[in-house]
Amino acid sequence: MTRVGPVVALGAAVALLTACSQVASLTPVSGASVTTVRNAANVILVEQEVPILVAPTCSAVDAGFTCVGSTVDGEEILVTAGPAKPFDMSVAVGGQVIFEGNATDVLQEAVLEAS
Amino acid sequence: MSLSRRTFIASTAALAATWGIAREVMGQALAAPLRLADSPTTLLQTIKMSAQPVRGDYRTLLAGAGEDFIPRYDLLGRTADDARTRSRRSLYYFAHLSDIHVIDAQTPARMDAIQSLAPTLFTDACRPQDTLTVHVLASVVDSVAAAQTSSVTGAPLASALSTGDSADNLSQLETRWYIDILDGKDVIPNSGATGQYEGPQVWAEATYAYHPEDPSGDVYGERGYPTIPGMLAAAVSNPVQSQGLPIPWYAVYGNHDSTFMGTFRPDPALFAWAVGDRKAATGDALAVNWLQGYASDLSAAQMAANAIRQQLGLLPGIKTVTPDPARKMLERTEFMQAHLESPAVPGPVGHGWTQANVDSGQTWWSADLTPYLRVFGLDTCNMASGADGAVPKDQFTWLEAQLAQCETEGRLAMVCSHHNSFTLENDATPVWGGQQLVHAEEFIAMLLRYPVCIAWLNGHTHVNTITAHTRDTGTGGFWEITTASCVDFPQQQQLIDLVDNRDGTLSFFVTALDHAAPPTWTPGDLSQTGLASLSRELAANSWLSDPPRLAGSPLDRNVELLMPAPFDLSAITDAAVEAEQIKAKAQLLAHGGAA
Repeated sequence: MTRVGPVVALGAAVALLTACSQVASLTPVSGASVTTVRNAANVILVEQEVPILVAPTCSAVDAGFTCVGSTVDGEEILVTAGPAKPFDMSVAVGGQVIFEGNATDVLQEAVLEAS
Repeated sequence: MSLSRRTFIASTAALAATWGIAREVMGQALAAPLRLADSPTTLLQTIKMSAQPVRGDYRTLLAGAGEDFIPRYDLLGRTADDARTRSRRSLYYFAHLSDIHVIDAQTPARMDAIQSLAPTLFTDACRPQDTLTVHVLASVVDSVAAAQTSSVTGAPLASALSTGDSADNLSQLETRWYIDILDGKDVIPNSGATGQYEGPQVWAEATYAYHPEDPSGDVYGERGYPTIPGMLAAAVSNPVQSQGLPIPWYAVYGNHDSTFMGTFRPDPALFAWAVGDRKAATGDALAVNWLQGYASDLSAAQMAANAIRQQLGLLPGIKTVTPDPARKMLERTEFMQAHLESPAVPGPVGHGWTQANVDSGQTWWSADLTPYLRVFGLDTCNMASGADGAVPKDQFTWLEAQLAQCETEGRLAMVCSHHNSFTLENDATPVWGGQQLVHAEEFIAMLLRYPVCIAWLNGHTHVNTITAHTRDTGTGGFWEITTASCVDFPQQQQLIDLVDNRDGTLSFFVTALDHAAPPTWTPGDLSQTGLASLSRELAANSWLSDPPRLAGSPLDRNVELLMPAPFDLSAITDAAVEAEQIKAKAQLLAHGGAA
């Protein structure tokens, strides 16, 4: 089978298993990208002991993701991230940037034992 | 108003008779004050990956520091008064289970080989730990049983709510195994040949699968997965023993309980495939030969033609396995029926569903956990295609009427479903037709109209996630509490204590719960708990599932979720709460717990 073979074969498999009009619903479980950004932002905020009143809520925008929350002092928490892995991310509190880096590294570091 | 002595004595006598325990023993146990638990939860110890890989990218696991509760004020709109810690009372302490995913790893109906065609699309088609899911569930039962009293209030554990994907692939065996483990029966997690694993984890050409006997030729070996002689034989040969949950448990449908691989509509050909004797070992075989009639067309002519083709070597990648009629896939209502075939203890028989559900085909239910707390179990699964879900209009209408009734009656309410607000967007038209589908935005807006609806419990994404849904006024609303799974890392579930702070606010104390197997797997330990521990380690290294993301953030694990009380909670008397707690203590005592 050529390199395109598996792709064609997968399409055939999917078509056999479901009506073609329903194929649009066959995306994987939703939400993985936005969850990566959201979780990483929360890790940063907790690590840096930001007093959170409203945890950031994230939404997809053309350039990636934006998450907005607030502190108990009324300052805005603003997270911006790129659209694809490793999700280059900026976290700002009250206009002050407290973190710049990528979200996947933040989450990987968070599950490792303390060095 | 607390429970009177006369009422206490009468209750004790009744409970002693119900559970067959001497009245004096029951009386002493129930009279003991609530004690804060020292349960082995993530408040005391977490599980971390080793800082350095031990081989390739492969890391072992080890114990880490505990995580304290973090208060979340999103729904309160302000910080909380510290005085609440001195006066609060538990209204209900329970476990939240989800995405148990008990797997019959050897069924021909498991489309393992699709992972070689689309590894990032079907990350769950063939996991390294597929043969160990029953061992993990028994370990989850152990951890829940060990958490019989709340670490916050000392309240007794009263029930478990399981939010779907209990089985993995519509399988009768998987469904029976999961029910039996929760009910305290032993299970040998094997099908087909006795004491022998048959499947991609021993087939050399299945390079997409982990081969514990010798991973040198597969993608897992490339990443440093270990050689573990005897793992598969131990997994499928030895009985997995379960002490059973000490509490009543409830369940709802998940997409893996409803559809093939959690994604595709069930089909008679698939049902035949499950009990057959042929299985695809490679992606090419699966797609080119298998799905195009080889497995599903069981006419005599087709079978003869295929036997000849296989003899001539024209069907590479097709394997013959030992057939097993017990691998039968379940029809829609048979899943509910299986829950009715379950003992009265821990109960309830049906676990939310009743014979009326089976007779009518209605797959959703409600139950009164206490006289002041009602839970609604929805079925959000799409039977046409796709893993994600939606709320059919008839359930939506039913639930709204039920919530309105709870408002009238002054009763708190929680909603359980499999899908969460990130994944309630499936547009595929259900095969039964005619039902309008309600998606996340409209569903959340409806729940927000009823202040008595204080929580929505769910799963599906396998990620610890807690989301505040706030009213337009900026305060009030409900908490959406999503737990991780038992199959992917971190293999965590939740303990939840609903607390009245007696200051006009409520708190949900959520605690992430690791299963009881040791954090670090000892090489060569193929005991029941050893295999459960190994499962967690294999899952932690399974890069396809993105383990660090699934763990969630600290705001999604051990948290106090504050919110305004929806009504004056003094209407729920201390006597009413105590009466419920002594019932819960009695059922724990009957199970053999300390209560």
